[in-house]
Amino acid sequence: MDAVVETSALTKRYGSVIALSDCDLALPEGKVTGLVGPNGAGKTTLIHLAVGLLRPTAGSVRVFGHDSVRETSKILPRVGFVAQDRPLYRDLTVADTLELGRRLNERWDPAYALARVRRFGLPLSRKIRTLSTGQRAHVATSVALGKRPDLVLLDEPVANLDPIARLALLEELMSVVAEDGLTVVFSANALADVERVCEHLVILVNGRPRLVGDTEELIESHVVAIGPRTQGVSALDGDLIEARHAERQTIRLLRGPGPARVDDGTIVRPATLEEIVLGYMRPAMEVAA
Amino acid sequence: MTWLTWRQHRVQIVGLIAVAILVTAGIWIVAEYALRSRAELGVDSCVPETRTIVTPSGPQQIINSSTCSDLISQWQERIGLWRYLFFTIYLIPALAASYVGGPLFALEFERATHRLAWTQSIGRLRWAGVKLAVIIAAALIAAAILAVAIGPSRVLMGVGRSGTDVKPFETFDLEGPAIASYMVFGIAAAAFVGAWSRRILAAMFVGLLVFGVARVAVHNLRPWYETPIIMPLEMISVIPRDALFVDVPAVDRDGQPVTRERVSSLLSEYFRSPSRFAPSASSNDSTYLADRGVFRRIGYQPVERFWTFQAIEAGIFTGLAALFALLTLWRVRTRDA
Repeated sequence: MDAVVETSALTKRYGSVIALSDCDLALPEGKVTGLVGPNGAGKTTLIHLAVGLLRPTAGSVRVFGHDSVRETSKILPRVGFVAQDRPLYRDLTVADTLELGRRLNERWDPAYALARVRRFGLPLSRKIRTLSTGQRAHVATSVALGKRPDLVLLDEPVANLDPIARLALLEELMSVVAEDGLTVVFSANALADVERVCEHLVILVNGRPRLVGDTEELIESHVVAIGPRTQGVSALDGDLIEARHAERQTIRLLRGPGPARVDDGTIVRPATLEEIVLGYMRPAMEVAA
Repeated sequence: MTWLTWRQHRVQIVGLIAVAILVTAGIWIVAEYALRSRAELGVDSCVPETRTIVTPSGPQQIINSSTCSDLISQWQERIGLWRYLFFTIYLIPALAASYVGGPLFALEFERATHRLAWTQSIGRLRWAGVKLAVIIAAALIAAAILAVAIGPSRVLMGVGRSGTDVKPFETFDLEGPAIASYMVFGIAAAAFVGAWSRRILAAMFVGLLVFGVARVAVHNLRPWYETPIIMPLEMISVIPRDALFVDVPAVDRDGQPVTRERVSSLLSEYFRSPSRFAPSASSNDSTYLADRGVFRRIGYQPVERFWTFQAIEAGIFTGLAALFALLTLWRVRTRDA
């Protein structure tokens, strides 16, 4: 497995605020990677560092093996990027926006971009400012994909979209990955979206990767044990990730094969991705708080 | 990228050039009208009325000049406030700075579209360079149009003075090289403020301020672009009428400058002294000062230096513009998005 995006000891500070600290990551090629974390975890910072919009305070990011600061010109033609809130020029028409993609990129597939825009029924002569949020999202991703990139980086691509548009966009992305074998990295707040499409997961909390792994592996290796309320770790196998105590019960997220004995009435079942994500995120956030 | 800049800013580009055409045409029309109605009224062929009246000492000719001055005020009234139209040329570079230069980068940052542009393949430096170059090219076209208005502007300026000649230095700021350099400077300065502050309002306001301060500062510097020719104040009548006068300090016997306060205190002393009631060639305010070792002087720049001064003025503003443009490019290249 080759890494398309590789960070080493990556740190980004804004004044005294640390957005990313000492981050070592390798995002796999040809997969959909979800970047998950609470607000302010450093998701946007990480993506912006990769496309050269930001410079690292320390450490480095390499994309396709090129340094993100010194070799931006080797990276950008191969990367399709959509920033948060999908910025587009409001007074340009849809056709103008595609023309922008053609003029500003040496690698540009006009037929492909046009076909995409047509597929979503976007009127070419309409100005961007008259489009709905969902329509804008399709235009923005069309510009990103019209470059025929090897890597697609999307910052909160489905935020503010209604469930139907959300699903349409995600399915579209999935099919692109399947057809062209490109690498997709996107950040998201909604866990359901991540669960639906991500093959690889990075959980960021407070500027550090808290959990990294293939989704399937993560689901297979975690269990939830719900048993009578106890303070200590009972004779359950595996590493305790998080224990939450209700009035009578204790709910534990465990990494490992699962419990050997269940004679105290503990129920054990496979963990959902949401439970895993929350189980890793919550304790880390509490420590920080 | 040229296409995108044009597509994004065509309203401003067309607007700027249209304003230049309108103003130039307006000034030209008013000036034509001024010249024609001056001829119609016969201002220049007016002969003062003379009357012969008989006085105890014999017949005397009386010249009644009010008929001719009436004609002049009639002429001025016809043109009315339109004669101030040429003042708009002073304002256009300021407006271009504020409305075209200010938002050039600030708008991108405010709407976050720089993140779209900077992640296409062309790179930030070319993006910023082409944007600046296209807008400055448009500004130069507008300046070239405005430069045509210099002749008619001088006519309008003359209206307020009964139609007497306007000295070249009086319309220095309206001459082509100067106006072009103001325009380029204003836009580059405001664009830089926008790239730095990322705020449209700040760019529009501070850009305007920077432009105004630079204009006033350089304006005060202008009489000193070359060492002025200096002579005693008493010889002021020798200086050619079309020269630019320069205020130079008075000196004492050793040629050391004398403060303004000393000169004015001596003068008020003189006006209180009895000798002022009998001014003559050998006794007037100048001789009074000279007796006390103070010699007033006047400096001037001859009109032959006019185009050298234009080149220096345009050079200063173009240099400042280049500096701001480089700072903008540097800022865009190195800054975090």
